[in-house]
Amino acid sequence: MKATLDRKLIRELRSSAGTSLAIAIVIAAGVAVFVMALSTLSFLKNTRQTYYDRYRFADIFATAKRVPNHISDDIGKIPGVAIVATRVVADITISVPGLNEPASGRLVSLSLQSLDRHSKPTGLNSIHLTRGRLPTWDAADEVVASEAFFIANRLTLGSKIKGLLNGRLQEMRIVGVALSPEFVFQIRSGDFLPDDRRFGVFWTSRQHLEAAFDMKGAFNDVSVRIMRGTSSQSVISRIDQILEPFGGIGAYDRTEQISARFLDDEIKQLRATGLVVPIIFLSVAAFLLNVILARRIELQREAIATLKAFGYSGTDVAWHYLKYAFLIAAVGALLGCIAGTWMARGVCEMYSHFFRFPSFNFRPSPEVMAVACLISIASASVGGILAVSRVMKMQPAEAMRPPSPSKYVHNWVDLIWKTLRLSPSVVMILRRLRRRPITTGISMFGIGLATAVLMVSNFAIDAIDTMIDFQFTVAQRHDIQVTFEYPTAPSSVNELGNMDGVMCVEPFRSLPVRLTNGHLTHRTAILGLEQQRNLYRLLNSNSNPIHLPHSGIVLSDKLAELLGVSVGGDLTIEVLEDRRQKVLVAVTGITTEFSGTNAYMDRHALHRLLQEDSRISGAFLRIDNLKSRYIYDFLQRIPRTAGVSIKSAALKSIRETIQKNQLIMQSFNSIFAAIIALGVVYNMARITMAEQQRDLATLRVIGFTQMEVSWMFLSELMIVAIFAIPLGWLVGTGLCYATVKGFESELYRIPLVISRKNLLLSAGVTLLAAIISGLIVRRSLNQVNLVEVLKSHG
Amino acid sequence: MKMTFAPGPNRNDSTRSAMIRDKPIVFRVQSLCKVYPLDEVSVHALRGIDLEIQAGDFTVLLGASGSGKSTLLNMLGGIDIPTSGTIFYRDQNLTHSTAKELTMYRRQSVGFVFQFYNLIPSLTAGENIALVTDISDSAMTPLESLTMVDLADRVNSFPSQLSGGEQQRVAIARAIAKRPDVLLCDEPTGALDLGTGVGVLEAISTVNQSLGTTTIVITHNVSIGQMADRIVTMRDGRIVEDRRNTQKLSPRELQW
Repeated sequence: MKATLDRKLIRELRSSAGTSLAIAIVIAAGVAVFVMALSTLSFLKNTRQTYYDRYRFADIFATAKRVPNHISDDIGKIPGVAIVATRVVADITISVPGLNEPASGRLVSLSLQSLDRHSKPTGLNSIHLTRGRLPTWDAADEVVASEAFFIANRLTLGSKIKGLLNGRLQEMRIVGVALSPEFVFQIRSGDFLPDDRRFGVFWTSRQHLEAAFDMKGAFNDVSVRIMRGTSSQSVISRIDQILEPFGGIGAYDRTEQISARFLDDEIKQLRATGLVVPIIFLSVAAFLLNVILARRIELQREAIATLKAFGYSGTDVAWHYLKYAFLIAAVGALLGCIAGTWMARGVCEMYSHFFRFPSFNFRPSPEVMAVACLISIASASVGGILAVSRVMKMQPAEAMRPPSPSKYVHNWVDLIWKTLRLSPSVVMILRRLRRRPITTGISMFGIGLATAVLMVSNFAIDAIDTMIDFQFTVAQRHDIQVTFEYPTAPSSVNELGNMDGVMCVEPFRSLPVRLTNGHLTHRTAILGLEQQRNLYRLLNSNSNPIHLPHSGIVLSDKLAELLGVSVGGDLTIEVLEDRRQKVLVAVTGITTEFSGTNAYMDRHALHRLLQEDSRISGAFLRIDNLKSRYIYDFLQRIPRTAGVSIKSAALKSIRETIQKNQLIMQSFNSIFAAIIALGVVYNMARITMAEQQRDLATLRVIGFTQMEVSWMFLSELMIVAIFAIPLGWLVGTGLCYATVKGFESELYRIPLVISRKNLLLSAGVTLLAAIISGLIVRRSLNQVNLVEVLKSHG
Repeated sequence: MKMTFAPGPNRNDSTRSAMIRDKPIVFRVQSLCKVYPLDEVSVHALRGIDLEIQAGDFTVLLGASGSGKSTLLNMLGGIDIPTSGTIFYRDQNLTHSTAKELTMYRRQSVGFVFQFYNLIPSLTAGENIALVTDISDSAMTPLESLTMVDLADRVNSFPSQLSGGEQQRVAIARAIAKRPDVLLCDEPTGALDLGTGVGVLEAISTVNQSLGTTTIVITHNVSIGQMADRIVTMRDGRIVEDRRNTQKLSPRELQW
């Protein structure tokens, strides 16, 4: 007997294809984000785990100045330590063919054993060769380059780059290209986003590096793998004790390893996206299904009564209507799984530019899809069951009678309408909206959501622009930052200042420290700055410069938050080099920053506090751009420079990266905003039309023109849309704030910037969607058979 | 003036000629056909209707379901168009009128009363009427028209606060508020019990007599014909009887 009911269902689905599809698409959007985020997440986590395991990514990392090789045995004896691997690592300035400005490189030694392709790999942080070969043990000029750098600079095997190794300019020949679990995310320490052209990692034979950096029989970098169940913190403390006499600057675990941390942050964000966005979309879909089913049941009450009179049970009939919701959910889930998988591929493609894995071919996750389908069915059930529960209760005799007119009563609102002398047609619209505050409210929320999603999608661009402007134009006004290998006498600045084309030089002292407030502790560097500065300004949240006090320490807002300290509080500074002094210092200022967790002091105050001679770690330069080439050449030849960072180049690279990724995210967001806007507004329009059709047809019969009736219909929609927009702005601001919080990490933060342009654009697009949806639905008003509508009751 | 009537057993040419001399023709219907093409068969709702209606007449269109009376009324009201034939409303050829002209025709000249009242639930009785008077030139006030149907005290009531009969009387008040030339009522008592139905018919009768509105009421209730000036009976899309009622009864005297 059910087959006939199913036929009815299919026919009705066909006749309401537009509405059904619109809801299915809203469900699909939620499912798509869920599938995209969670399958990318699961894929990313699995890929990372496999990579870390297979290439034995270390658990703990430490660097020092020069440690005799036998000390590694002491580290190996620490309880819980499984493997110890020592290396020689050096940061150098390099010149790359085709690049005017100097770039930075990190040289990492490869042990004899790791160069022997026949031996079983035993060390840590093994590299994965993607092309070419490993360097030979005694070839001083052979290196393996990191893949990101190699591709970004369009190099070939055999290409030569020049590096300044311990003051000596040496040629390095690329014989191979590799990936490493240590550099899944290849970023220079202190940078804001990766710059693959100007930062590369180079692996070469340990023998060569020992010779170049005077490290015979010694190492300056150690990696440790610990046994399962061992606390990394206790091992870190022991390593720090062992390395202290050798200039150790504090060991750290994976959570602080820059590449691993970026990857962790991304995984955290994906998880948040995969949960929050689908909840929004599926709630909207549940609401739409509820309203549409309720309307359908109201229209079919006579049919329901007849079925019940014939002996169909309440459950039979309810199930018949619920199937409608389930079918839509199933179509939505199917579309969502397809779109989600496609999007996940897009996101993985984007990730493959950031995260370098040996293999990064996305595979769809059937488990995630199954869960997505269950969730969409659940949301449809919520929407459907609420509407269908009425069918169960409906008595056949009662349902046979035409419904009484919707109930309206007088209240204080009527006074306003009377005072304003509004026409009956306006009053009609306003009373309808007021009578159903929940439906009107949810519709407003739905349309507002479209405005909100649009706002978030535009917000990212504004926020990143503001952040870049704040960081690179207002705060940091230098063109070049030169960092020396070791702290040197302040007179080195003169050499830089004397270069033709250098307009201004300001030295700085950078000191690795561990800051402690009670049980809260953080590793960072204190930047000792000049009192009279032009090139590196500290700013407050309004972008106004703040004074650097003659004593005490100034913390970035994020660092102050991490350490739970404010102005007036005290901190313990533990210097992580040389004499490793521990001193107490007062917090005398907080500065706003969008990247890193930095601390600042007056350079001379820093020297006084450490009881050290005046020394500098590097300098900020402002240059005459016309003479940049000469200056770049010069900088590439200055001995003992560990790094040269060119701001304009970094900025260009950041903008390129952001643009490329923004394009993908922007297109996803725009599609979602359009789906929400059109899905919600179109369905709203259809529901309004279904509810009003009889009234509007009556108006047509009693002499209202098509235009007048259309205006009445569209006005209701427009009123809801207009009130929805401020609500959308509010929700949008909340979502933007959530985005800010979601992205907030020690590495970088984005500011909550909501421009007027963003507000207007999101409102404009929402209104446009409302108008388009209204006009599409209005067409059905023209096709209404007046005779039939009037014959029907209800 | 040419007189065209559908053939009927009770034709009384001399009476009719006298009357036509007195009253102008409001509707002239010639060879009116309406065919609804379905998938495999065509339904002939009207099969060549010829009819003239005089100003001020109270006409009852009688017939069983499917006889074509509603189709004819809808065409007279300008909400449906014929397959062939012509309908003249005074000098206006409704069959050649555009949608806009038909809207204007309905706005200015026609008052509709529906079986299921079709009141806007979100508007009070007075506001439902104001909806019409706002777009008419020489309308009465909502209160005036509600007084005519004896419902002045319910001007601020919403439809949900009115009984079925009261709702239908508000619908009549809404239809006549603009002082239409014709009042078209489609089964106005169809959804009402006897007592309530009488009240509604009294309201229609009052409007017809006091305003002189040409009134056409369709019903399948033969008794209602007794209060009309003229009774037109339809069957299978044709007029099978057209007679004048010489002994009009008041609605209270009707029995059904």
